[in-house]
Order: sequence, then structure tokens, then C-alpha cells
Amino acid sequence: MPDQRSSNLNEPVSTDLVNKELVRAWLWWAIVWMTVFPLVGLLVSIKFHYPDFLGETSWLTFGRLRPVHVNGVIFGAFSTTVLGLTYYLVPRLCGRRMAKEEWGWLFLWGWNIFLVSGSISLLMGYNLGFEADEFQWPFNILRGAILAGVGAQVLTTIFRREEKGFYVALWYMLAALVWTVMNLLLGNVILPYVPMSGISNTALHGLYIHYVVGLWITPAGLALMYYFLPLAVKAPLFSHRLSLLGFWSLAFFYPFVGTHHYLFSPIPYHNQTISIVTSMMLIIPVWAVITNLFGTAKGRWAAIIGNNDADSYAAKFLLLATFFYLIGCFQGSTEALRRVQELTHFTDFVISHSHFTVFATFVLAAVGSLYYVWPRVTGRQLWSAKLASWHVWLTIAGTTIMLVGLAAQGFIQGSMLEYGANFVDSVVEMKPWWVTRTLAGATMDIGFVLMTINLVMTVRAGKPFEGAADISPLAASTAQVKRAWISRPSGVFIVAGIAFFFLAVVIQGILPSILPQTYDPTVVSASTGQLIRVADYTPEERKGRQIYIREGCWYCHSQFVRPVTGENLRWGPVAQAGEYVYDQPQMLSTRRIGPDLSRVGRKYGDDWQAAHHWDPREVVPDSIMPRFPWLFETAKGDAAPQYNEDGKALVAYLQKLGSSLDDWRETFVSTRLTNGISLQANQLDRTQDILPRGKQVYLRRCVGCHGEKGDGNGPSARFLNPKPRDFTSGVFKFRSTAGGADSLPSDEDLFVTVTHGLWGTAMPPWYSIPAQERLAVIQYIKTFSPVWKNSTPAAAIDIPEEPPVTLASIARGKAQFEGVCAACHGMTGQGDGVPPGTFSDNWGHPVNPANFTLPAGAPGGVKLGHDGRHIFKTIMTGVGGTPMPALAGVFTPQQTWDIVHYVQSLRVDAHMTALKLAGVSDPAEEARFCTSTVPWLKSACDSFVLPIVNFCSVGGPQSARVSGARFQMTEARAKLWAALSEAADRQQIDAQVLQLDQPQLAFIQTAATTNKVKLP
Amino acid sequence: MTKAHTDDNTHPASAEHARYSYQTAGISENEGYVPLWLWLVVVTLLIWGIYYLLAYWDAPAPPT
Repeated sequence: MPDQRSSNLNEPVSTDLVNKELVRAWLWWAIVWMTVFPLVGLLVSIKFHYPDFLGETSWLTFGRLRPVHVNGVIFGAFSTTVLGLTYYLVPRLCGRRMAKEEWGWLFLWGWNIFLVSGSISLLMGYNLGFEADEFQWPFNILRGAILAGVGAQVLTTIFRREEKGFYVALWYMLAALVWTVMNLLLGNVILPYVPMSGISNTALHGLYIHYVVGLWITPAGLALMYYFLPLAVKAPLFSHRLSLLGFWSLAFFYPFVGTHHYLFSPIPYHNQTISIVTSMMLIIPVWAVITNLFGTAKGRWAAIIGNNDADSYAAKFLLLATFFYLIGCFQGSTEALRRVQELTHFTDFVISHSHFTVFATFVLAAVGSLYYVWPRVTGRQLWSAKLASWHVWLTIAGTTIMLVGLAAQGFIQGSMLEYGANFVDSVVEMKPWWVTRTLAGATMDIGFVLMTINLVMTVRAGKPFEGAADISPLAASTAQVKRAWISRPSGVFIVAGIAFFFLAVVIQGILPSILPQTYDPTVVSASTGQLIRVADYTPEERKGRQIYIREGCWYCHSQFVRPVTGENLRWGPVAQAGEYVYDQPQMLSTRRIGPDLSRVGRKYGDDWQAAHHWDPREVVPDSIMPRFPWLFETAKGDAAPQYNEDGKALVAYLQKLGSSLDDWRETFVSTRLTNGISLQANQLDRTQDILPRGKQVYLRRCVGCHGEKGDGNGPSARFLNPKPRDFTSGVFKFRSTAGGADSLPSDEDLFVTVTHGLWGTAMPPWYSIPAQERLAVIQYIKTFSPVWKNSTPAAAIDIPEEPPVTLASIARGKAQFEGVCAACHGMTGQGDGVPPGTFSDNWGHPVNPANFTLPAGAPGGVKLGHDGRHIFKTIMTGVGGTPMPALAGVFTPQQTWDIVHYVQSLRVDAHMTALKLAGVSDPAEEARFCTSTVPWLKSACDSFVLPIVNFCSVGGPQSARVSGARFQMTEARAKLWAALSEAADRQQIDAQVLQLDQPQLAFIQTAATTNKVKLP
Repeated sequence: MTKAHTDDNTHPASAEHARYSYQTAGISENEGYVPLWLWLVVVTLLIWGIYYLLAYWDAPAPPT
């Protein structure tokens, strides 16, 4: 790569402070990576609006390319330039050649081997599972060793320097290398390998990821800006005192801020607050730097704008970077505020911020520095001012459009979601913006290509450059310059580089990790308030988790329901710390291009997942998710492709998600069947005007399974069992209308089914689309069958008020059940009264009697839950299209309610059994912290550590924790009944029904308002 | 930097106009000053930060 002709220009190299040949070689590679890795980002961005683009090869999916782009820009485009320029600025500022200068060649080739092999490994799916920390250990060792080596060279050179002044650029460069080597230990060793899982892992990762930006990219970039801007504008630095303020406030505040990546998570509340405050405090160093650098350029603007040499283009880029630094960092500080983050987190606003800071600020700073140095290390003047000018303007245009657009997108999507829009609808809204983002990115990349052409041509055809004369090292001097410790290398190294870093890691990373709630595998059951144990992953689920990491699912899907913006109504219960104790790496994630998945378990059947992984757009036409055909066996004939072992494992993992909180779907407010009642007060205008809207909804939400003709033969239907409903038959399963099992349902019935979904099938709940859309699509699906034209639904059956639930009513119901229902559903209601395959539906598809004991979403269980009125209606009207008959003529309403109570008791009993199996534990055991058997050690722990733990526990996760009082299982049973029975609303659940568990178990109580840990 | 040597002779008595030149780096820097408005920003932020830390150290109690 180095040009032989140009390399001879500067011989003999040894007379110069700077090894120009070495710098030139580094910068050649920097130019290569500045061109390549942003282009990878362009490919990634195209996938947002053309999701099938490069989508048939696993290596080129979004989940594989994204880490290549991110790491490539950070460690390739930016860091290669920084490291190359380190060999330029450090010797010049120290007045002596770089210590062990020859190592630079070794590091150069090692660095490129790391970048190439590491990128290939990411494309192959070798991913550690931490954002910005994806490389596996061999690449991490190589990267860490090189940065440590360069750090050693820089430190040695600084401490042995001949120039007695210690310029601010060296402070930043020294600190950046020290911080980064320690951060790599944190990210590459502690995060993946030390047993600190779950929320501890999350807290540490929050620090790590921001240290990459704040303690590597920022200080290294500022080192370049502080050195090359005064040179480029040919003016002295504005203020040494501002340098001090900027550096030390950054060094003190920045190490604390990383936790703001996980606001509203179960990370202790006060740690989140510390990160917010310190994020806002970053305004101090940023404004100090801005003032200093713009102050330096003051009075020089005419020359900067008017000149056409390399130095003026260097100045333009460096000042552009300074301006973007102001914007991007203010954006970042305010983004950490809770209310701003509620709205913008997980959206493109975050992507705007990261591009503002990493690309628009520091990559452009590196570009500006490159323009300045290139003529000086090649001995040639810049070849074309016109190309450089195009580069500047393309960068301004592309960067501004992209970053302002992304920020606007963030507000739009965040607002849509806050006001309850369907998630996919918010994705659709983003698509035109993403096209704009791609065009803007292409504009920026064209600028880079022009720069590359210009710099190559500079070497080949540039005129000789007069300013490339050698500078000799300073002679050894014994002169002393007295300085305060804050502007001495030892002060920077020890206080800023080490002490502040460790202080922040201890407060924000280690202290949260020793709180019991971050490693205690218990959660509060979402349905009963009971403290229950969380089960570890099975081997297959754990394997599935690895597939999830390999395919980069976590780049688009979070696993972390926040207690804000109605997320608990959208996805399910708010995240609890105990859910994550087996997660290392943690998968909370920082972005939602797709919906949160922490509650996805049993929301869809395995068959829906298969159809979705095979081709997401067959199921959800608006989806932008990639296909994953490599998770399937080779398809045979027209049969639906079957998952291979990887696919099965992935689905096992997905179905596990959210199950730790107990069977919460039965009590999930968004799918309560009583939602249908609202229809009665909200009569729809059932004119033909509603049909176009209904069709639109159908084609976007339903066509994948039910087909364009409504015959249940959509493109994904071949994967599904049970098969999607054939609307052309006019037969529907669940109805409240009289007239037998084939009677037409009312709009209210269909609304309930659409809203709730059908558990254990591919029919998902649609509560997240507007009620008017649900009502409209109901009218549209009626157009598929002439039945709706020829007849009207009968009146709803009369449902008398539910009588009290008593042991007697349950016993009577049991007797009725065993006499009639057990023939199909089995004596214990587990759906085993007949062998599987005995029954089929009207279309010849096998159907089995429901198992009433299963939790929500389990295959074979009930499809609309155990709500009393629903079961009553189902008994009386049957299940349309199946062998389940209408039994209105068999049972009286009183007998039917008895059967309902019995069926509900089957589920409550099974649920209580599951709770007991989940492990009801002794609060004293759960809460104990100091457990050492060595007396003095326990005493020391109780005296010194425990108070700290207690103090830090205040204001922690909002999940309920142990209070130490005893809890009656009766209350748990009462809550389960309350979720199913309207009689509970009238306090008509007989006490005996609720006291079946006493006194067999040890009980504990949970308090829902505090996380204060009471220690023995 | 307490013993910076001064290249700028126009304000020899003013510490903030002292200038230090780095011999081989081609660069120099003023001792300079921190503008008053920036000090105001610093003080305001520090006061706000202390308030926010105290006010939001604990999570607000959930609605009962």
C-alpha cells in the first residue's frame, strides 16, 4: 500500500522526530477503512426499506452486518486514523521520537489482522452478545494487546519527553489509552466471563458501551482536535484554563454516565439518577471544548473559508466536527433526562445521537486531521481542492439530513408508541424516512470516495509540498517547568486515568452488583403477587439463546418492558431484576426496530414462529425482519419447511421469554374479554363506507394466514396447525349467539376474538391496533361468505348473573362435568378423554378437546382463557366447526355455572401447583447477605458492607421484594379466582374455596411498594 | 501551568495573555481564561445536579 516513490521523499527518516513512513502506512489503511466500513452501513440501511436486499445469505443479514459496521467505524475508520496520527503528534509534542517506535509496524499489521479477521468472524456469526463488544476472545486479545502496546509507547514517550510543556492533546491521548485498556478488561473479560449476570451484567455493560464512546472515541478525538485545529487555522490555542476545565470535568463526570442506556430498567434507581445528573454535567466539558476551539479559530475564518490548500480543508472539517460535537452532546445530555428518554429511547433518536457523536464529530475530526497530515507525510500538496470542497459539502449535506432526520424519526415513532399505536404501524411510518437516511448516507459515502481519490492522487500527482521538512528532536534539557498536578502527566495518569475510572466503576457497576435483588433468582408473580423462583434455562433454551445472539436478534428486539409510555399495556408486566439472573450476556438491548420480546413467550404458537422465521412478510406484510431459511431443514415438495435443530432451539428460547413471571396472560388487562363489552356502548356505523378501511386492515394484518380470498390459505398457512379460519364458510368458533354451533357470531364476539387472539394457535391478539380498525376488519371478513347476506346473527343468549363460587358449586359442576364433558375432555379436564386424532373439524383438520389445566398459550389449552362468562357461552353455544356441540339444551344455566366453576377450579388448582413447584421460599434465606461462617468476616460484613447494601437498596428496582412477614396462600388463590370470575367482584368467592392450601406450606409475603431489603 | 513563557508582548502583565510555545510541535497556547458565562453555566448545572440527586435518589412510590 505505501507508495515507494513517496516513501523515498523523506529519507533519511531517522533525522526527523516523526517516522513519516510509519505514519503514512497507518494512514493508508485508515483511508481504506474510512471507505469500507461506512459503506457497510449503507448496505445495512438499505435493508430497512428493502428487507430482502442481500437477505438470502446468512453472512449478509442485518444482524451480522450491523456489528461489522459499528465496530468497523469505531475501530477501523476512526481508531486506525487515531493510532496512525498518534505516531505523528506524540513525538512532535514530546520533542523526542516515539519510544519503541519500531513496534508501530508490528501494531499496524496486527491491527489490520484484527479488523479483517474480526469482521469476518462477526459475519460468520461469532458474536459475544454485547453491543460494541461483539468480538470473541482471540480478537479481543489482539486488540487489547495492541492498544496496551501503543499506550505503553505513549506513556513512555510522555514521561521521557524533552519538551517540558505538557499539551492538552497529550492529556487526552494518554487518558484515552489508559481508560480504554481498562475498559477492554471490563468489556472483554469481566462482562462475558466473570459470573456477574443479569442486572449486574447490564449495569456494567452500560458503563462499558459508554466508555467506548466517552473514554476512547471522545478523548482520542479531542486529542486530534486540540492538536490539529490550532495548526490548521494557524493560531494559538485560545485558553489553557478552558482546557483544564474541559478535561477534568470530562474525566470526572463521564465515567458515571453509562447507566443512562438502561433507564427505567431494574438497575437501582439511584444509579440511574447518578447517570442522568452526570450526563447533564457533560455540558460543562463540551461547552468548554467548544469555546476553546471556536475561540482558537476566532479571527481566522476568512483564511479558513477562502483558502484552498489542505490546511484550510483540515480546518473546515475540524470546525465542522466541533459544531457537531456541540449538537450531538447536547442531544445526548438531554436524552438522558427521564421524560425525554421515555419518548425517544429505543428509537432512531438514539441512532441520530450516536452518528452525531461518533461519525459527525470524531470521524470528521479524524478526516480533518488526515487532510492536515497527509501532505506532510507524503511530501505532496493536496491534488484537488475541488474534490476536497465536494467532500466538505457532501458531508455537510448528508450528515445534516441524516442526523436531523433520524432525530425527527425518533420523536415521531416515540410519540406514536406513547399514544398507543401498533408497533408495526410505527415501523411503516419510518420507511420513507429510512429511504432518506440511505440517500443521505450515500451522499456521505460518496464524499469519502472522493476523499480517497484525492488522497491517492495527491501521492501520485500532487505538487511537492514545502512544509514537509524534518524536525529534529530536542536536545536533552534539565530545565524544569513547575506545574500544578492537574496539568502533569502523573496527575492525568493516576487521578483522571485510574482513580476516577475506578470510582465510577465501583459506584455504578460494582455496588449495584452486590445488591441481593440483582442476583436473587426470584420475581413477584404477575398474577398472584407471590414471590416465586425463576427457572434456569434448559440446555435447548440456552442453545436457542446462542442462536438469538448469533443472528443478532437483539439488535432489533429489546427484552425490557419499561414502566412508562404504556409499555406494560402493550407487552405485559414491567421488567423485574430476578428475570435476568441467568442472563449473561444480558439481552435488554438498546434499540427496537422490532417489538420488545421479553413477553413474547406463548404469545404465538411454534407454528407461527416457524412461518415468521421462514418469511416474515408472508405473515406480516409490513415487516422488515430478514428471512432465516438457514434455521430450517431442506423443504420436501410442497410441505412446509421444518425447523432444524437451531430453529427448534431458538423457538424454545423465545417461548421461555416472559414465562418467569408466572401465567400472567390470564390477568393481562389489554386482552380481558370484557373489552368486547365496550362495543355495546360504541355502536359502529355498519355501512358500506367501513369496508374499504376493513379491506386495508385485512390486507395488512390478516392476509398472511387467512389469504386474499379469506379461505384460510394465506402464504403462511402451510406452516400452521390449527389451520387459519376459512371465512368463506361463515363458520366461527366462539359465539354468544343462540342457534347452535354453526350460528353466526355477533360483532362483539368477533371483536373479542380479534382483540384477545386465540391461545395456542397462530392467531395473535390485536389489541394494539385501534378499535375502529378491529371493527372495520370484522365487517370486511363478512364479505367472504354469502351467509352474512342471507342471514343475520341470532340474539345473544341470556347469561344470568354468576352465582357465588362455593365448594358445593364446584362439586356439583364436577359431577356434571364427569357425566357429560369428561367423555372428551377427560375425567381431570386434561383433554384426554379420547385419543389424539379422534376428532376433526369441518375441514378435516384434526382437533383435540381442550385441556383446562394448561396456562395461557400452551398448545392444547383453552383459546380464550378461563373467563367465566366466556366458558358459560362456550358450553351453551358450542364451538363452531368442531365436534364441541351447543349444550344449551343439556344443562340449565345453574348447572352451566357449576361446570364453569369446576373448570375454573381445575385451572386454579393447576396454577397453584405450578406456583408451589416454582418454589415458595423462606424470606430469611432469600434476604440473607452476610453468610460467612468465619465470625470476624461476618461481623465485618454486617458492620461495614451491610449498611452500604442497605443504603443502596433504597430506590432500587421497582419490583416488590421480601418484607419478611408471612403470606397466606389464600390470597394468591383469591387473586387467581378474581381474574376469572365476576363473582369475585361481589366478594362471592366462598372462603373455603380459597383456603384449600392451608396450612401445608411455609409462606412469605411480598410488598409491592418497596425494594428495601430486610436483612437478618 | 504556572511558568509559561510569554511570546505575546502586548499584555505582559496579564496572566491570561501569557502564551506558551511548544518547540517541536509547531503549536502554542494562551493561558487564557474561562468566560464568566461558562462559570455561570457550571454553577447552575452543579446546583441543579445536587437538587436532582436529592430529589430523585429514590424511586417514586407507585400509585396506591
